[in-house]
Amino acid sequence: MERQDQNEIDLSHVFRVILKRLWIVIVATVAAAIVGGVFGYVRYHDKNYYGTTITYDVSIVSYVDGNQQNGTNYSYTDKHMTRMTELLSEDLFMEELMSGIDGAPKRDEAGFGAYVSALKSALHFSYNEENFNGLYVTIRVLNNEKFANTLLKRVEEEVPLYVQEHMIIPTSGDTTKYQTTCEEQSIATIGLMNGGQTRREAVKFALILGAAAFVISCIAVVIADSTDKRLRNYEKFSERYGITVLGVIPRLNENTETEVQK
Amino acid sequence: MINFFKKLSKKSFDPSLENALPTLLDENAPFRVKEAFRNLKVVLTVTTPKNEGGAAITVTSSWPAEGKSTIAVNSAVMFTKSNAKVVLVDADLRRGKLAKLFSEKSKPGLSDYIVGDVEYSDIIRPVAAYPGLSYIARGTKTDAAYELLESQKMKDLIKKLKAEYDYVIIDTPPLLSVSDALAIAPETDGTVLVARHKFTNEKDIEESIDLLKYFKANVLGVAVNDHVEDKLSRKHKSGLYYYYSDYTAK
Repeated sequence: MERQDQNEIDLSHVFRVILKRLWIVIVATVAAAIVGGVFGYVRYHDKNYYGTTITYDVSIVSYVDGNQQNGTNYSYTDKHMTRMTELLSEDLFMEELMSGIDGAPKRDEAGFGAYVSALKSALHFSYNEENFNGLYVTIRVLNNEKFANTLLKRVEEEVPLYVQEHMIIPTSGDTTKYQTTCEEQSIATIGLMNGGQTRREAVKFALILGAAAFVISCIAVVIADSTDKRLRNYEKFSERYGITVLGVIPRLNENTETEVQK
Repeated sequence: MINFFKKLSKKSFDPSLENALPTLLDENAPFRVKEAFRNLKVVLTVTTPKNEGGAAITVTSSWPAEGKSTIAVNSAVMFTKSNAKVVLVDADLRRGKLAKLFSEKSKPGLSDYIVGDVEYSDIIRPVAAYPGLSYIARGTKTDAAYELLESQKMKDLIKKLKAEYDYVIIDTPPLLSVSDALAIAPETDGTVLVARHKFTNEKDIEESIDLLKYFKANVLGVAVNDHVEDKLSRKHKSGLYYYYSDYTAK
């Protein structure tokens, strides 16, 4: 019980110390928040990502004696879809896309590798993990809306062909044959993907740095107070050292910091 | 900007404060300050034992510029308001400035009397502005202050003053700077240690008191000088002081 009381007293002392030096905490917090906000703004204000996500329906159609059948008896699994996204992420597919882009270097030309890397970073492939018939292609190009549109056009042209060509299902030896189809679900258009990001990032960094400065300044104020051994609370001092305080003479002019009483 | 950082940092000792004169309260002094000195007088009246006539009180501090002279002078003035006969002794033979406070010269004074250059009647100076108050100035500056203060002549002087006055208030140099106060404190009835709020280190106060006790001085306690209230309690108390000062005026 005594221990608990002691803790409560200490905590109230800490709060009093912080309240007494609240202006330091506020100044530090506001300054850090401003620095954080400026940092967030500077870091993201010129980063505009243009792009879109295209959804494809990937399915299997079966043919018996050359006639399409209703329903299928073969479906893709997680493993197939993973392989599909891996294929699309390979250099070979990037080269395929580059073949239709004006100014893109050929395989044996300088800058080919860098261009491939740029394309890879601009494209992301994923799939529907619930029923494995949805393929998602996300285009994300930094500060170049025109190139994003070019890339969209190339993706729309090449992805269905590439998927249909490479996702081959072996025939079972009878008259039934299978074919992969890849169809775009809706018309995709390029737009700004990270609208408002600059503001969000500025606010985020302002909050992070502001909160950190608040905590650090509170700790610093408490530490500074605990290291200050000057006579401040004469009642506690009297209690602690068993010394009688005969009198307390106020400063003659409390508004004057330099007032001297010798 | 410099002032801002100065304010942020802890106040350190400013040597220029050592040369400042003590503050003698006048009628225009704030009510709360006058009341504080009145309270100190009451406490000293109660706590100081009176032997062989009057009471001798040593006023000292740990370090310079803590306000011991201000406390000594104004306490003496407060005692005279109770029709007491008071003598103020400037026992800081190195830097005492009591005479300057009363716009007079330091010589002849205490040191001159102890070495035998002047007579007792030559060093007692009545203060016209405060009936009942007299003072003894520092005298000629000397580096052998401790030796003079521990002399039998000084002890005899204290006895003589006690026989003649109700209160003998002796202003001495700081304890942790020089040992002069230790020669006088055991010969007086009580010692007041002055500590300046937000200036004096608590450990120094403790060390000073241990030192005084070791030399068998009767430590009456600590007088906290230059106290600055926190803003909230200052607002509250200033209201109370206003109420009572207004009341007493009526």
